[in-house]
Amino acid sequence: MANDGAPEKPKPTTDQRSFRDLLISEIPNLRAFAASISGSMQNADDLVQDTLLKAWGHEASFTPGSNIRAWLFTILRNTYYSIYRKRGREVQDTDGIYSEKVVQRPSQESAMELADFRKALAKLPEDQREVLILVGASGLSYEEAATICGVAIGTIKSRVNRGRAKLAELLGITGAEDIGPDHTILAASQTVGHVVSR
Amino acid sequence: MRACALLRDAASEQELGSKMNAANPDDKPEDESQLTSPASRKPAPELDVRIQHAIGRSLQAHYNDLLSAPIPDRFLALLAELEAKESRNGE
Repeated sequence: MANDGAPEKPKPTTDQRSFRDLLISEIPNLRAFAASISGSMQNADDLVQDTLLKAWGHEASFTPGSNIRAWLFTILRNTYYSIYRKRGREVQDTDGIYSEKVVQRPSQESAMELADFRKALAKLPEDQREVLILVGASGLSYEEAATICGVAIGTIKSRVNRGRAKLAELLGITGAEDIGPDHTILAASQTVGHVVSR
Repeated sequence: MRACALLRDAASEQELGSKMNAANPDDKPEDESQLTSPASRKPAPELDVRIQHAIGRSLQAHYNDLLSAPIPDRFLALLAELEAKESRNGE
């Protein structure tokens, strides 16, 4: 890219660079979403790679100024359902997937809580899990989640409710007394142990 | 006459439907997820707000933990390569 040619129209380069930067800035979210729905970090990174390639090739279909995360999540999700899910989730290894990260938790106790929570999350029906991740963690709105999943907002809401109820059940939470003073989930370790043991 | 009544009914049903979507059809069971999760047929019971919050916090802890992972070089290399290829083609 010679900088002595055509200084009047540096636009293509600038736009290009900013689109690349936009993509880079969303990679952590893409990986987190991909790992959450596919249940495997290996699959997650393959999914992210496919998503980046498709996004690059379809930049024209992205409306500048709109939420690029929602756009990328839609691509990633469609890719997952059209290709990866067919490979099956048997590769899933909920103990191993996130272990590299879990050891970095501030305390042993919260590492266990997180591990237990992840086992419960992995047991949810996938439509409930993806919606909980979309609206409960990724910062997207109900409306954006509805667009991404191709369903009505009311459907998103009821999936969120069912997903939460199912998680509470899997974690053995029956009442507010199972919630610790610091709002963590007390009942987690004892119950999930039984549910998850294979 | 009958047809008219039917049409009217259909119309008001549609109106009701869209109102409910806009409002808060929280516990309304819907077909699609019944297919994917037979256990979820029953409407979700109202969860204590504190439980909802605890689950929300756990979801965020799960997600934020994944977010904090460093970006693998392969993705940066891929995008750099795509960009380089494009600018080569453009010249």
